[in-house]
Amino acid sequence: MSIINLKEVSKIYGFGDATTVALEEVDLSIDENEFVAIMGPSGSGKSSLMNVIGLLDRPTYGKYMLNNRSVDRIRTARRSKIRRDTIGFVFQSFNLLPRLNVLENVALPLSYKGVSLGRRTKLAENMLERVGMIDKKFFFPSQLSSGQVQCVAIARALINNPKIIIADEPTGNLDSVSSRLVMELFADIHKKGSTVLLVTHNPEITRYASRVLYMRDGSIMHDEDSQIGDVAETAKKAIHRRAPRKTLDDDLAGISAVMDAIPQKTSAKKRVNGKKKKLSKNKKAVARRKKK
Amino acid sequence: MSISYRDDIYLAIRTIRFAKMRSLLTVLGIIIGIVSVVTIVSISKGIEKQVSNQINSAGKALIQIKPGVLEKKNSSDILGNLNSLSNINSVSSLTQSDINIVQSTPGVEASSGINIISGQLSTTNGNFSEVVMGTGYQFPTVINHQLAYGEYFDPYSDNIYQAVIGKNLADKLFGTKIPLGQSFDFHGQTFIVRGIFKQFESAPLSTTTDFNNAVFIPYQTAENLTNNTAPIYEILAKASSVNNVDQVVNSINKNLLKLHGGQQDFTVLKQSESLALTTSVLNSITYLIGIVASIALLVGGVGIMNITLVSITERTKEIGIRKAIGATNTQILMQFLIESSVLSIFGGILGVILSFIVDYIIGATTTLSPIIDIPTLALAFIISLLIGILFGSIPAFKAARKDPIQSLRYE
Repeated sequence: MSIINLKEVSKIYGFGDATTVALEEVDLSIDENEFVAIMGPSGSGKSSLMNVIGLLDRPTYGKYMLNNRSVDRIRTARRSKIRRDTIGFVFQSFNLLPRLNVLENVALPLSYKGVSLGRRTKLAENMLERVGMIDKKFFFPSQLSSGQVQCVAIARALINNPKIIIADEPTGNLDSVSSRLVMELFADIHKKGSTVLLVTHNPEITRYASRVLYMRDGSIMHDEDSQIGDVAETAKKAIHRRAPRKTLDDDLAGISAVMDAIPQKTSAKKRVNGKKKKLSKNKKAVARRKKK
Repeated sequence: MSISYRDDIYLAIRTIRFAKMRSLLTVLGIIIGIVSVVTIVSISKGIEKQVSNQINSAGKALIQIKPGVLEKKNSSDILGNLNSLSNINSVSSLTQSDINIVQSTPGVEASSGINIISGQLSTTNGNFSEVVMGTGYQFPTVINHQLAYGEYFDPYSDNIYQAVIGKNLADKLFGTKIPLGQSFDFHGQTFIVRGIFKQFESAPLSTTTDFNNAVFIPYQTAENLTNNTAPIYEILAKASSVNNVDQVVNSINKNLLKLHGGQQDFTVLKQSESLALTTSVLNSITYLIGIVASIALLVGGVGIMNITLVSITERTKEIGIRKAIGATNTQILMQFLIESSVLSIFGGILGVILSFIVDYIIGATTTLSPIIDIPTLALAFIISLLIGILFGSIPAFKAARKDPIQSLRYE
């Protein structure tokens, strides 16, 4: 059963000549308990897609059904509550609030829900136990390594037992050992029944995914089912082309190699420009008629 | 209170603890404002208490007849209230016959005219400028006060050169606590001290003269010294009972009006009216100074607004994270409102502590005795809270309306 359902969803920023099409008529259906990795170069619309799915942003056009309920027109406060109860976020950096300690950071979503202090602390401790950070519960974020911060962020994302976990490049700032630790956590979450959406630049990460989406210019170019434990087929090609990858630059080179490996599509910008031209032609025709 | 709001209070307190210096500088304006307001209010309350003690010590049956007219102006006009005081003391329209008619009014147990003579007193210790009052022999009865040493004048001591002095003057004029039998020169006559009053309750800003620093001589003696030109400062009368004060006031008023040919150029005041008069003058002054002090509060509020705005810009990313994990706009709004309020109340608390110190110093170095009571503390608390809410609301609204995506992207 699909938990996320996007129909012809577009997201357009700005207006006039400064129009940017971040998402272009995206159709996407994600079932419960899928682990979806989303790959694509910078500016391909990965984050915009995550923001729309995560209810941080509203689509300009199109329909979004979350849990079989349309969420396009609901109020901001209601969106916040759905976000709190249904979705857990993990970002690339600055995940934790610097003034709160680890325990308080993890318990924060519960406090917005109105859970009592005792219960909050207990739940947060359980969650920290699960991610192996219980011994650091009174540490402040500045006292933790990047990997540890991500682990705590994952604990916080999980605290409300959300159906969906959205992670925007959670391993982007981590070394390979920490990356692996963090990804194992995501794999564990997935095993326990959550739907995971994970944006990444690293083809290796697709090893954990059951499905891989490749994006470019606001569209999903390629949608591929993948065997958990194996790198996705398309991503694999990139690895073979550009080996060995050790640095971030190599990683970016890896992603361009991935994009080279998938079929091309007319760029969205070209399409917009085409539409604009059409519109100006129409305007001229109307003006001519008026003159007559 | 919602749980998340309680957390906000806790977090706000922690924020203050984390950045002590910054918080202290932020609330400096509030501290100064609260100290000013609390000090003014406490001084005003202190004076009110002193005046009311003074008036009560004279007894509730005391009636004052003052020259001039007390214009009952619109009490909402602050400056109008201040004027009413000066009107009373302007020109004396009272005469000896008024004293006589007050004395003979039914229900008056005792009465005394008071005139004031200016001039220098000289003793062996030097020359002094003190208030010298001519009073009738019933004066101590009228004001319900006894002598500490010696005795007051009797009905037959109308034209003698003897004096009774206030307690504070004894040491000042003669360098001894009990200067009975000592003498001083005044208007070319030598006066002998025959009595010393007990300490009077004194009050700053009171409409009556401070009797502790006055010299009392017989009324007729004073008239003689000045060739009957000494102006009558006031006539004091004591009703035979507290219950018939109103009746006596009316009779005196009627009698005097008849004598003055229907012209109301005098004022008959009960003690309660006297107190009300002082209180209204005091309130007017308090309001005026309060307005000036509130400028400091305004500046303090702007300081809080400024720092909260900076803090919100600094914490844009935090706002983004909070929104992403499910904080509603209202919860973000409340977080920053609570933070500015806690900061402001923190300033208020420091202000109150400082006020206690300032009031202690004022009490120790002046005759004022400021009173900080619970309503004053409540006032300080409410003012701080209101400033926090008022000046925190603009930044808090700004924070609440921040777009989560842009906040998350903020570097």
